[in-house]
Amino acid sequence: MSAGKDVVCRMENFRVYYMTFDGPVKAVDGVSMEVYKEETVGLVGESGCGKSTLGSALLKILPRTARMEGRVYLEGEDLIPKSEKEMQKLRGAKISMIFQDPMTSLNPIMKVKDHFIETIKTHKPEVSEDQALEMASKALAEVGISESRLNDYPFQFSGGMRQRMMIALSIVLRPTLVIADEPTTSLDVIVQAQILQLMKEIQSHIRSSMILITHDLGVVAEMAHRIGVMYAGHLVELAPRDTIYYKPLHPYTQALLESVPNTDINDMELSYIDGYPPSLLNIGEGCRFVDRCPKTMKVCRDRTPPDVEIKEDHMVKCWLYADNVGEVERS
Amino acid sequence: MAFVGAVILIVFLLAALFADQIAPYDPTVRSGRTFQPPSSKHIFGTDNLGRDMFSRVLHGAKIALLIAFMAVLIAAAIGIPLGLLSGYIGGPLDRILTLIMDAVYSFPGLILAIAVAAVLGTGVTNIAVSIAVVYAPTYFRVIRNQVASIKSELYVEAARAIGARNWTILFRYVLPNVLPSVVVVLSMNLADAIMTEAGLSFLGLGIAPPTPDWGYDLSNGQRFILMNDWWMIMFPGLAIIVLVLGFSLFSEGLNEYLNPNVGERE
Repeated sequence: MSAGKDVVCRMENFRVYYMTFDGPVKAVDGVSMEVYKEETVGLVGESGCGKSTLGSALLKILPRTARMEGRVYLEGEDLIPKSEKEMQKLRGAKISMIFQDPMTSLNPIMKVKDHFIETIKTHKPEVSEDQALEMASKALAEVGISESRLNDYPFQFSGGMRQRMMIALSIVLRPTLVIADEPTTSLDVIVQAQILQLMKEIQSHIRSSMILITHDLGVVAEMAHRIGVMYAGHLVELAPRDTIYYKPLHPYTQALLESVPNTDINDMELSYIDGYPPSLLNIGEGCRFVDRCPKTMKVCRDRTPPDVEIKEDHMVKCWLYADNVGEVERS
Repeated sequence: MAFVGAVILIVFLLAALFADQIAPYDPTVRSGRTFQPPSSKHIFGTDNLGRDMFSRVLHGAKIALLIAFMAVLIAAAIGIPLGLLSGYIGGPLDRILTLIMDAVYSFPGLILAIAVAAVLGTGVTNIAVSIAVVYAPTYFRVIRNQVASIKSELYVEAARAIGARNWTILFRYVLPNVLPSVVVVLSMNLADAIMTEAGLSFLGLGIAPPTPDWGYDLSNGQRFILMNDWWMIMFPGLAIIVLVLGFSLFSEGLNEYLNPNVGERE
């Protein structure tokens, strides 16, 4: 698929289940997608849809109760069978993460420079402390922080500055894939815009790919080349940004876009999606949007919809677009 | 509060360190008539063997502090690493260690110390070890619970995301963040350790006479209480009370300083 584009990360039928006493919670279920070189894929969905689990699962930093199945290739290497030791070598170097809350994602008692030295030395023990500091100042300069602040502690920075620091920290080793998990959620709108702009610049500068996880459709509109919509553990639609915004096919994507609040004061009516997402505990076959979907068919309840390839680069997980629905009777 | 405690502790530390210089008499040999009440010659009086009580109390501080510090350090050396591992690794190891530590913890402290001391015999190190056994679970529990909560902090997850190894996370991210509470437990335990040590010596399981020891002097003195020789138990007892109070005040103040929210409850 998509000849000519280098695939950096490919997920095939990727599943993440949290094992509980009551049975598996299927937080991510059957996700297949690719991330191309130098591209940003936005993952959107409401709280609890599995988008953050998916992000952490790519680094394999989930709690012990999580079980991963399927295939995840990073530059051709399957991550699923990799041991913790092998993953430690990849984390931070090949694949890194920017977290949601910059106020708590830095060790409060470590100086800024120690965060950098730690990261660099972990992966490149041969680098001297001076070289590491040089790399750190360069990375800080890239995010607009003066190197004079290397000796400061995280609490001496504002939220926006800390997030810049996190970004600098996550790109200092030039990873091929950066996972940004709600990187701007806890920041105010002005700082948000600056951080997004910065992330865009940095990404094109270091030529990495990015998976941007957010519930903010405005953020992905700004940043993403392609957008994946997740609902209750399923990746329900994946398409280029404009397609998602102007020609969404999945009923959930359509409903989601209609429920975005806007600043137009003439349009005071806010539409929303009736009902709640299903519990993911022991969830079985069938489309997970079935109870809230305006176009539910009989087949939707019985069988999980396939990933339907509408055209190149546009996938919808919905029976409405499956060719073989005729046989399974619409009703 | 911490200041008052600190002053008391410093006074006792100095007394212990310079006991040989300050004490007017050798605490283990006869220095005057027996059963003398406090006077200018013997400001704390003398005991049944004619030994100077003031010198004995001074030298007793040395033993009390030495054993208390040794006991607490041994307890910390056992409790902290086990607590770190247990809290960080979790799972079956955590279950087993917690079970063992809770079992130890459920014994009344002095009874357990008596049992261990009875097995090990007297002597400074043995007493310290038997007290340490009692207090190791305190460290274990505090550390384990703190580690379990710090483990889920975002910066620990972030450390994993940059590829930090488990040892690095444990010693660079987790341990430094639990140390403040260790310091508080440490100073609180010192007070308890002094009481336990005095208790053991009182029961004859502590330091062998004639080494000056508050607990021993207390039990020695109480035999003559009916003769109205109050000074023989008054001064060792007072020394224990004041020193324990000093440690308590100090640890309380330290706790308020390190965890500023504690003081603002009302």
